[in-house]
This record gives sequence, structure tokens and C-alpha cells, in this order.
Amino acid sequence: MRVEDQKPRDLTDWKERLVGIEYENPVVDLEGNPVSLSAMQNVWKNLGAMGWKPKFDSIVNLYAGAEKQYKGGTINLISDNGAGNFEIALPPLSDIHEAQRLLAEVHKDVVEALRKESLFYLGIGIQPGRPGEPIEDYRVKNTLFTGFSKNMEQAGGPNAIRFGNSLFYGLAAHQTGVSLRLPEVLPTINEFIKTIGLITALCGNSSIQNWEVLPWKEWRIPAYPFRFIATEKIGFEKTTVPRKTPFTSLADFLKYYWDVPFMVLPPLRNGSFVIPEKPMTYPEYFTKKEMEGRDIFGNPTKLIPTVADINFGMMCLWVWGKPHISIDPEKATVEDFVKHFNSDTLEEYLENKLVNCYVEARGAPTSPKGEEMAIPALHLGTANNLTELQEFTKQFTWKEWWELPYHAAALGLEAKIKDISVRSLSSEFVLIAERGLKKRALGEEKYLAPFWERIKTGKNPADRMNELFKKGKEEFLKGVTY
Amino acid sequence: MNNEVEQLKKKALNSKALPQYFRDLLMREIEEGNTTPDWAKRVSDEISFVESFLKIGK
Repeated sequence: MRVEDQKPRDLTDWKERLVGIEYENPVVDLEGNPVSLSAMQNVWKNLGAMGWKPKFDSIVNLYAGAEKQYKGGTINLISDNGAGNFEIALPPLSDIHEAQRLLAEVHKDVVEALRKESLFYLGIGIQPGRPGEPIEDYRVKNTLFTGFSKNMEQAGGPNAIRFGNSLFYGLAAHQTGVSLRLPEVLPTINEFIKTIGLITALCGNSSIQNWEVLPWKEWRIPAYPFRFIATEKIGFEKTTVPRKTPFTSLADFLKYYWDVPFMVLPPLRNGSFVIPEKPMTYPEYFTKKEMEGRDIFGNPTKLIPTVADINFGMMCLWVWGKPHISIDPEKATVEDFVKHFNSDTLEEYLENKLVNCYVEARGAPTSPKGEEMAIPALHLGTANNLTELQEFTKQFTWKEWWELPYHAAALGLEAKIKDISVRSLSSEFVLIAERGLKKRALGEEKYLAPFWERIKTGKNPADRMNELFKKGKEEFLKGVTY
Repeated sequence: MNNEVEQLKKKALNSKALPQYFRDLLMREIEEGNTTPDWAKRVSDEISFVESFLKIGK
């Protein structure tokens, strides 16, 4: 069954919030250079021999990842954009303890499969060397980005894929998904966007590239506005950078991110993207009865908008606090969705029509080795203590919070908002998470320990990495390698 | 090369905020002629934006 035809598993019937985590980590060769796409082909085969099911992409004729079933969910391994980053996506789990146990098992296999090819898995948020020729591989040999590129080209953005994709290549993140009830979605998104500066200060871990210390402790945040600037169509950068005012409803949020000149990723049919004959926005597409499009090989394909297309369209934005809302196609229609989208009543319409609902926190870079559960614990704890988080963030305006990630990217825990130290604000922030975790009574607050250490010393992971790097490239690589 | 693109080139070369790798990507776009004045202006504004934060507190 194709991805676009699958009914999502119902994950709305939870008593305590579930946590799903995506771990991206750079993979490098013996010299510390980024792994090539061809080397990754052997890694997938190695994992196949270790009990994983390799995933073959017949469109580009390459292995694209591997998967394994776990308690009704799937552990997905992929190589982001074909090479460079290794991504481990754990299925939604009941608690952080389970995530830690499962990640340790997966790491064992991944590290062994990489070592067989003399490749190394790193605990930093950026490729430390200079990305080179492998970029040429993944620009073209990846279904997702082939579709993306053709779509952009048709809409007038011929350079975007080269540029944006190259930036993707260097950066790696640890992203946490936390279950929410529908009414919690909008306030949680707003709070997660506001507090991304504190996450940047506490978690910054992307400070070495080209074998040089960057002027930023965290390049992920400053890099984002640049990711899509190579398109000539203004507004495309909206897919990532938050608005300068808070969001007032789900429709308000979607209207902002869907107000780009064309569908960022077009609908999927038979495993291929289908690009409408004429560029159009997602809302324009959802109002059409049917239209002609072409798949990535240029074959004419009829497009009739579906609920699965809406679910897919809602995924095609990458802001720091990203809602994941999967609508049950058996309980909703495209026509009714459009009606409620236009009348700003989506929250009422979608109640009891979802099969999944969670927030994905996207602002944190890759964690240092051995500290992988700190970021998920922080996001789970703050999402589970929303009222206190809202009270805490009231002390500054949206604009002041909005600017903090850039200060924090440059200065880490030494950054300030209105002369108030981010170090002391971080302490309050982690306490809110701690109280949120304690409400679950599962003992997960222990995973926040790395943050207390960072606050105590005033040093985030980037500060520590920079100190390690001063001892030399070999010492540095030894210190960050699994 | 038009004026906006020329200005962008100068700004990118002198920027303290941009990593070398990123600067090289920008230069390649410019050298290959994949640029318009509007694009150059937007990129230039982004560089100024990130530069402004780097200076704070220094």
C-alpha cells in the first residue's frame, strides 16, 4: 500500500502524553568528511543483515533507509536527503524511559552498521568538515527532492533546491513530538515558538564547520531565513521562520504558512509527486474539483483533492513549533474543511475527527553523546505544564521572544532579554518542565540533569565543543563520536 | 553584474557572520548568474539581520 493511501494509526486515545522523537546526527568518514550516498548504500545492506528491513526506492533505484516494527509502531531509519545526516525516528512511546531503552538498542545496530564501512556517528548539530561532492549525489538521487526541485522550477524558483538543500546537508536536529488535545494545539505552538530562544541558549551545539569555530554557537537558527532565499518567489521563507505576531487560531496559522506562491510539496499519487499544470497555493488546490497535473517523469495525472492531501499539506511547513494534525478521512471531507478554514472555525469542525494530534518541537540541534533524553524531557515537561509556561512567557512581548534565538545563537547562555539574563530565565524554564514531568509521576525529571549542569556552568554544548576543538581535530572527533 | 548583486557580493565577502561554506554557496550563485536584483536585496537584508545580532553584547 502506498503512503498516501494508508489510514494513519489512531493515536488520540491516550491518558498520559505520548512522546515521539527524531534524532538526526551527522555521519562522517575516517577524515571527518560527510558520508557519501554510495557509502550509505552499504550501510542499509548491513542493517538488513542485522534484522532491519531495508527500504528500496524504485524511482531512483537506490536504498533509502531501513525500518523495524516495535509495539505496533515503526522505527524508521533514513539518511536525510540521501547522505550526510543519519535520522532515527522512534514511534510514539509512553515515556522517556522507554525512549532511552529503545534508542540505546537502535544506536547499537546503527553504530555497528556504520563502523563496518569505516563511518562514524557524531553527537553534534552540524557537519564539522566541509560538505563536498556528496552534495551532487543527493541533489538528484532522492525522490523527495526531485519532486521538490521540479515543483519549484515550474513555479519560478530554479535555484532553491541547490541552495536550500545544501544548507540542509550541514545541519542536524533532535526533534520531539508530544501528544496534545486539539484545543491545546494553538497555545502550545505559540509557547514553543516564544521559548525557542531559551532552547537555543541551552542546547546550542552547532559551532564548528569547515574545521573552524563559527562566529555562532548555534548556526541552525540564523541559517534558517537563508534556506529558501534562492527562489525568486518572495514568501517561500515563510515555511520555516515564525510570524512576528502570535497566531490566533489554527486557520490563522495555516493561512500564514500556506500563503506561498505554490504548494511546497505537491500531492502524492502512486508514490510520485504530482505537480499541477499551473502553480497554486494549498487553499486554491483544495477548492478545485479536479485538475490535470504531471508526475515527476512528466506523465499526465488527474488530481482530485483528498483529505490525505490536506494532511500532507499541513505537514509542509517547518516552524519551530509545528502542529501535526491527521484528519480521519472517514469523518471529514475536503469541502467541509475548506468551509471551516475560510470561516475560521477549524477547531470546532475537527474535534473528534482526528487520528493523531501532536506538536513537534523543531528548534533544538543534535544533543551531545549521552545527553539525548534531555531535549525530549524538556519539551514533554513544558507541554505538560502549559498554564505555567504561559504565565512565565507573559513577562516579555512576542517580539522580544522572537528576537532571542538570534542573540542566543551568538551568545549562548550569556544572552539577555531587556537586561535579564537568559541563564536565570532558563532556570525558571527548566523548573516549569520539571514540574510538568513530576505531574506524570514517572520519574522522568531526572533526564533534565544536563540542563541543570549547563545552567550551573553557564556553558552550553557548543561552548564545550569549542573547548574540545582547541585540543585539535582528532581529540574533537574522538570526543563527539559514538 | 547589476548594482544590487555587486553590493551583495561585497557584503557577503566582508560578512563576519556567514560561515565560509555558506559564503561560497552565495558566491557560486552570483558567479553562475542565478541572481536578480530583488533576490540580491533580500539576501543582503538577511545578512544585515544576522550580523546585527552577532554584534549585540560584544
